[in-house]
Amino acid sequence: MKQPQVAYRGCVNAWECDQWGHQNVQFYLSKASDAQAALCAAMGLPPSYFRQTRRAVLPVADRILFQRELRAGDILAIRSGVRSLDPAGTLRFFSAMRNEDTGGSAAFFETQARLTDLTCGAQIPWPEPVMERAAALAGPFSDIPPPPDITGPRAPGRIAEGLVLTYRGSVESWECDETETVPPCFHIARFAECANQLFRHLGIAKGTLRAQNMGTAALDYDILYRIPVRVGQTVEIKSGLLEVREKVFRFFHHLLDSVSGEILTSIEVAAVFFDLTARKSVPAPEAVRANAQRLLAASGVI
Amino acid sequence: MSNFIETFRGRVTPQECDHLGHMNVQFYMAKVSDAAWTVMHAIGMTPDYIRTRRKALAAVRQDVSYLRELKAGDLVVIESGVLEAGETKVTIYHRMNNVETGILTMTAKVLTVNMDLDKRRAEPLAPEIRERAQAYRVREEGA
Repeated sequence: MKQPQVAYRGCVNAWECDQWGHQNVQFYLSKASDAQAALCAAMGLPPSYFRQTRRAVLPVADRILFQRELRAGDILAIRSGVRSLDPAGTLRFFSAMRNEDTGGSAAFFETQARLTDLTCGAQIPWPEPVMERAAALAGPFSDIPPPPDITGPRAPGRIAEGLVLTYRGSVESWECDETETVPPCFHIARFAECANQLFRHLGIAKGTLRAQNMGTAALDYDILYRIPVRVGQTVEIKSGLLEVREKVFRFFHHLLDSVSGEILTSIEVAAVFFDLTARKSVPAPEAVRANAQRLLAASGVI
Repeated sequence: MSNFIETFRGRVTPQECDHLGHMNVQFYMAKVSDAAWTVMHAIGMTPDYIRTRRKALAAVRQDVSYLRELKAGDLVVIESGVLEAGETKVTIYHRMNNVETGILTMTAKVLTVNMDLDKRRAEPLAPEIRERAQAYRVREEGA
């Protein structure tokens, strides 16, 4: 039976942890991007190929389950495997991040990516030898199934009037990688930042949370990378609420080009509030429930 | 059989490269530092051990050879082992290879001491840690 290969190995550094005492979400993504590069190399697309051709494997969709928090000093590895490389050109693969000390799953990534010409931005066919290598690597990995489908309301693919403006800025050169586009980790850094603005509209401030010994943690991301984001673009993020369950609350962000108004990237987030001492999820604060209906209506969800 | 173990596998990012167009020396060390946690884990200094026993290896001297440059996007792997485990000291040896070319890009010999994280001073290694360290004895490249 095919086994996924170790595509990343490293640790959690103290400076990758946030105020809640665990590895910030953006660093899960940066490590997963390293794993993606290793998987591409195994498929016959090493770094020199990308330099010579000005092509890149860019993600188009990412589903991420955050299973256990990671703390400074934890050691981890990512094992990746190819599910399929379909004739339409979409590479489907997974990356399982594991705490190498406890053996526990820390996060799971189910990713779709395409080979892209960076000069014109067009999707291009995979070279034949890569198709063959990918086919040799691919397997059902039936013991590592894809994440279950998301239940509940989904983010509308349009910008409703009442969405909350949670970020406005521009894309800097140091955010871009060798593909000259913004990699997933910097998308997540922005989204994580603007979530606090959304929380403010829900009637909760970080100071209030801290006073109640509460933090927030992401459980589930569903990301659509619609248009690659490039240096110099002015961007904004509009956010809305999807639903508030007893403990889990779901919201979404659309990253827009400020000039054209096009949606560049969308993310749906499921998150929980948790007790910072017990490290266990707790019901959403009352203020969230009180403000939820108003924000749900404004988000174009109900 | 080699006692080297894989301790780091990752990639060079553009943010780690300087105006000379290659990975800046500080990031070789950053990757060596990341690799060190897996070495500690292997010899019994697990994250839990470090948090509860409040002891860990701290670097006091490094001897680094930068053998080949690395560029943004390059994939690297570090394998590590132990050169010597003494009363309070462990000397760790790391070798970094470019995954695509297989070429050795850096070696680092790092002298560490067993540090008490509360007293902030070196102390003798626990016998079981010292014993486990012996299982990862390696020889330097070209030695």
